[in-house]
Amino acid sequence: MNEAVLNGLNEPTMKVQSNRETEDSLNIEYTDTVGQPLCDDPKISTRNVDVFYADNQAIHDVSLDIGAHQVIALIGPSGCGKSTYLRTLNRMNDTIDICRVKGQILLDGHDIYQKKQDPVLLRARVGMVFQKPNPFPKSIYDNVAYGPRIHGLTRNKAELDDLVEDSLIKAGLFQEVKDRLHAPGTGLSGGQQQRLCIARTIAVQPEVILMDEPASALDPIATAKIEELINELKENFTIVIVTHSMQQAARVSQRTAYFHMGRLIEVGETDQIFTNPSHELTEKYITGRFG
Amino acid sequence: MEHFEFEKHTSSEYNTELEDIRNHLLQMGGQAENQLRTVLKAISEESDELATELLSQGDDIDQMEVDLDQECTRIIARRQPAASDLRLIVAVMKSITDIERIGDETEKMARLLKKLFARDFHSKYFKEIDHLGQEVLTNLSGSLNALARLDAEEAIKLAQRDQVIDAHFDELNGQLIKKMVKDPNKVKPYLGLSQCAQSLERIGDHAKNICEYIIYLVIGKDVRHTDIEEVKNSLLEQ
Repeated sequence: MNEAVLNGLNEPTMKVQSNRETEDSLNIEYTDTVGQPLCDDPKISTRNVDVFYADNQAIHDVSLDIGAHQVIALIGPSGCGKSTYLRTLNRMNDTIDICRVKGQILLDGHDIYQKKQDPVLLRARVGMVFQKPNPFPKSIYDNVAYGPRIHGLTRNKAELDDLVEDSLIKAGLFQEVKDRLHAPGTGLSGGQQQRLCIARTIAVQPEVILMDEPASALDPIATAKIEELINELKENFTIVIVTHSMQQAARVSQRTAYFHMGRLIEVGETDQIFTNPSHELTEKYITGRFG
Repeated sequence: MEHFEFEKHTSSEYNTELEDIRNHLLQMGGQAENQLRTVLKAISEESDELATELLSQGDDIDQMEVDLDQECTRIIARRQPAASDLRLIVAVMKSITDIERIGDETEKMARLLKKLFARDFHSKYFKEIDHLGQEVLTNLSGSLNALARLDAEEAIKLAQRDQVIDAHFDELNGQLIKKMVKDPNKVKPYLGLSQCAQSLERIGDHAKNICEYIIYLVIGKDVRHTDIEEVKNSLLEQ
């Protein structure tokens, strides 16, 4: 179904370039992205992406590959553009009138911004989990069943039941809610609500999950459960996570991308970024010298 | 690494903590350096008094090791250091083990010397051991200076110089063994001198280890168990 919809036309452009500028506040010269922004087996390829809110450019010339079945963490100070970039990956920015996206974003080699692409179907393939748990005011069961129902993913009630159960199991929530599937989702704890939202995302069988600070509103135990879940989910999904917690990025991701003032400064293996970053700005940010 | 700096964290308290462990590490290194100077003076002057003085200095270095370990552990728990801060903590925790062992070696030498002096044993080899010791002292002082200045280039040079110390030790030890074979009645005192030389050679190795931690701290490359020439060439290429 999705392949037919996303019948892409464009080949990825492998050129990574940018303008040289001086970063004002830290007096550090910005050059091209350092490290390895591209990879051999990308699920998503973004090339020379610019994002504008009216006349204000929020993202400058970002070229980055997101590898399949990997967790990539996007880190950077507030306002650096990491969430804006994340939202370009499933066209969530379409909902903002003044937002314009330039450049190329390819999912499995197909341009997601081509006119015939249905954003709703795109978001079924590239799901999203938000900072604040946002369950629908429905039962736990209906929260998870909502997506499969509107996308017609199951043929009968038994199949839907199985899909709901499977999604709740994958989200690590089933054992906690199996006896109250028809209780309101909003009655769960914050951590449980977030796992319910993850189950709801998984239920439509996406290929990529975008997570925008998924644990920032949770306590340490609930956070640990979400992180454990991310680790398990990467077997079946490609995950892009925006986080303000450096330790969380270090724990859950295989690659880390550092954004600063709308530019992609450095991308590398997470171990390398947190022990020996190449760019001065990355070093300063992760050691807490600004941000 | 031109952008290496431990200050300028958003948290000034964190700056102070990192600065403190660097200072305490250098103090501990200075203490070990002083002990080595004292024991070398005891050798060159064949002074039982100086050997006794060294042994009476107590457990200063041991206590410094414990304190620094605690400081580092506290910073890890409270700050979760990353990048150069993390490498600093790792380098400090590793360096203090080597410095503590340098302290142990100097004490071991002082005890050996006291036994030799008690026998009223005199030999030209005290001077030879002092020569070896001065080379080791130069390397140890250099490595501590390189640590204070975070000078990786100097650390590489000093790590290379350890080969000279090893060669000097091999030659000196060979001569001492020959003396033992030639004069079996004096095996014990010559063995004592050989053990002193061995301690100095080990102190040289510890100084070299410190140099390797400096390279790791400054450049981020773990150069332990690699050929130092290779390290030098690869860093020059970079």
